[in-house]
Amino acid sequence: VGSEDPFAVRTSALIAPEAVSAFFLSDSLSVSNGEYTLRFRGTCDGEPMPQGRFGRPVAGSASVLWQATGRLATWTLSGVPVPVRVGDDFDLVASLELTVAPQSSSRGRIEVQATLSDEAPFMRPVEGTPLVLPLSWRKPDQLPAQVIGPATSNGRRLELDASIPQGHLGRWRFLLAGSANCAPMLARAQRTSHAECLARADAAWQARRRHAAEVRLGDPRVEQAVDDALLVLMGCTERRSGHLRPIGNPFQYRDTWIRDAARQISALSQWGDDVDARELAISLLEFRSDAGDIMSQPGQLDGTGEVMWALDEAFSRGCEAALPDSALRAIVLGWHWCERQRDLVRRWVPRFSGLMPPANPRDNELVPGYLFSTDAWTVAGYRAGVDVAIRAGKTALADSIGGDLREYLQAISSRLRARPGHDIPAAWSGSARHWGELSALYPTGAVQASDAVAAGLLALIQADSASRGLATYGSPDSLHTYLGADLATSALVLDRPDLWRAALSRMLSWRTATGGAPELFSASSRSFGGNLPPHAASAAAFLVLLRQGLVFDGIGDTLRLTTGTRSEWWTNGGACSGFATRWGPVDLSFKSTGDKAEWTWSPVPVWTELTLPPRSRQARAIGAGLRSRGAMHLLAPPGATHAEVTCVPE
Amino acid sequence: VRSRVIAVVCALYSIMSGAGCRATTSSSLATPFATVPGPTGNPAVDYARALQLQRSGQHLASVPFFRSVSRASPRDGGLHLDYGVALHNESIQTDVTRGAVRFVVPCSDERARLRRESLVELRTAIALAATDEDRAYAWSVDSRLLEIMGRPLEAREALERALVIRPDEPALLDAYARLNRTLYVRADLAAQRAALAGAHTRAGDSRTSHWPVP
Repeated sequence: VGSEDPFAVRTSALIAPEAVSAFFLSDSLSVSNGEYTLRFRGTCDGEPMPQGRFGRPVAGSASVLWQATGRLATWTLSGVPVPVRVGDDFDLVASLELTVAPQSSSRGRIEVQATLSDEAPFMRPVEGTPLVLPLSWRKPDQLPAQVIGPATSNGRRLELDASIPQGHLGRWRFLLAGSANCAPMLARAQRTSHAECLARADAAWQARRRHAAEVRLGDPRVEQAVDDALLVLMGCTERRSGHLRPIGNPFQYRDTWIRDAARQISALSQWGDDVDARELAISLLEFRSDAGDIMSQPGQLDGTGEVMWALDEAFSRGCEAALPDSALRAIVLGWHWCERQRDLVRRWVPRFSGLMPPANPRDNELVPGYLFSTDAWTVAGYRAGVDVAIRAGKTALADSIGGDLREYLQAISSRLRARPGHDIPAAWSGSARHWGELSALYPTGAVQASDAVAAGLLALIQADSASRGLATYGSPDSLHTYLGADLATSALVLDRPDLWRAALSRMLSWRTATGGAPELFSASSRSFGGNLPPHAASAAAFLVLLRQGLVFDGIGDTLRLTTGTRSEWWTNGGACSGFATRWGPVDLSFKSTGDKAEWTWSPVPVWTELTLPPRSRQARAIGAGLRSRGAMHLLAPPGATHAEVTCVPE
Repeated sequence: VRSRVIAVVCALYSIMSGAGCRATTSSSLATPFATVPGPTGNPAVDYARALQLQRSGQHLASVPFFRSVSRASPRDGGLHLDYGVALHNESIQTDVTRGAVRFVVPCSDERARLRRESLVELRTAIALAATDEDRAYAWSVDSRLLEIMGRPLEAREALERALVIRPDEPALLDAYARLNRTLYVRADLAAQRAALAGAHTRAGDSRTSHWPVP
């Protein structure tokens, strides 16, 4: 299961929620834990093992299958992530099974070389001095082995050979430790068969997966992409000493960046995994300074607003748990810190009055200066502050933050209107690479829709080319897999669902066969270099894009259903359950039959806007209390649960 | 005191230059059973060891020694300053392992904790400073750390406190001009200098010069 991998090098990943290590797989054929790499080479009657492709053994599996078919044999590698407990942490063992099935024309003479090397395509971060174990196919004296193969050998190269009769399989099992710390667990893992490991891993993932929402759209590619993206989101977490934390990527930057983590938390929350979202959001409070700012990386001043926003995202969507007092206190201190910064800017730098101070993120915008992202995310943080204060019954606090929010929005709006062309800049103080301004409407709400339209906000994803729907970063050849996703989501409220559909298609296309999206890649060479997939923010962007298309609660006080859909979802009949919205959990089903479109959804205490199937317009509304909003939309009153409408082609 | 001043100056230079990047190859990695001797409990010995480690860019290793010395003399502001700088340097120390640059403290939340603790130590150093000179210097270090942490406004505030005490110090004025550029402050430096000089209360002695030659 899995679509064709479009990248120059085909890759996959063995990851598991909460595990502190992961395995990177690359065609053909190697497996690495960031400390060492195991490379497979083989022949069947002299024919080399060919290049293959990755996928999942079945839909919804957390395991990986690689398969290559030559003239004389079919080669298969099954890879299973096996979590093992090491002290308070979860580490990972990879259970690998290499299978060779000779074709009828073959004599079945198989040779396999499994070679270890201490080079790796990424480096696993290690606290202090790395623990180094000898790398060999024979267990070293008094030390645990890092790898176990079907035979032993002195040194790093293991030669295996067999004569396989026709109709039979050659089968070899390997176990790899994700880190030196879990090497002692290999011997125990060896007692469980590979098939049993596979069954347990898939069962464990399915149990975890059940916490999140389900979609049934009659579109297997999208449904598999959802499963893969959820695995990436939950797999880009690690539990250390009992504490769960988000990581941006399981490989080359296995660390927390608030810029990524806030997206990850929001996506998990939107997809109903509120338990993980809450724990991850609380973990971000570790970044708080005594002054009240919250930064994971020095100079990224947007972090404070992002954490305030992420806390609200995690605790506001149909969540029964109350925001802990410590988190509310952090939000208040964050607001105080930001207001103090803005006050100092007013006093010392009147030309930037009303804004946050200059930031130097050494990332994304790539320049120091007064960055729009700092202001946009601070605004999002203030909105979150108002929301959590209201829910906590602290009306005076909500009023105070709300007053600052209105003044802040006014300051931004005035500045934008004073700019020639009314554009929204990446930096107020000069040029910078596109970043924070792309989040100006969704999700930060730093500008009004009218300002976004006046600024031509969607231009970056409107290119009339094969990359339409994705944004480029820096070079026109560098496509970014999630940079344009906020624009595509904003397009839903700017009546440009065509851009949303284009973004969804591109994001589905530019993924590995097991659903991992890199952050950036070259459109011409299809290479992502050392920035290896999967990327948590890319997975989050895909899930949020899809979720907000089906059930939109990102902006405003109206629930919007089916704002972004594909025609075939209507004819197949679409259903989703378990989406967490700001007005409670929402299940939705929708379908079109002949000229009739209908929706059934969970009642909410606000108005619901329904959008018709693509390329159709409303002929006649059916149902009490429904109102038209233009030719494409209906409005249903609070508490409504069903609507039908007769449509005609646009 | 002299050696401590030199150490702090060295540390500041290493902060400015990115906290020293050491190369480690797989052949030089420690065995699983290798151990590094910790503090002895003798403040003089531990302090000498801390300085030696700091000068060689091994901030991670120096921190336990600075911590030990600082706890042995909790009223010595200079030791808190040393310890604070060491904590900060640990948060930005990198090395090269298998050809890749890495933070020696790999988790960003742990690095944030080090940054937080470093500022606490700096504020303790400021509160315990024995002389105006020491206090001005501690404020200037506090300012530099805040600047590196990406908090330029608070860095400027801290630097102004140092300038109130030492309005003519060239190193402080250079840093002030740099922060003004970062913040896009259109400053009339002469006027600001005069204002700061007016606020200066000349109390305490100034026997030791901390300031590097600009």
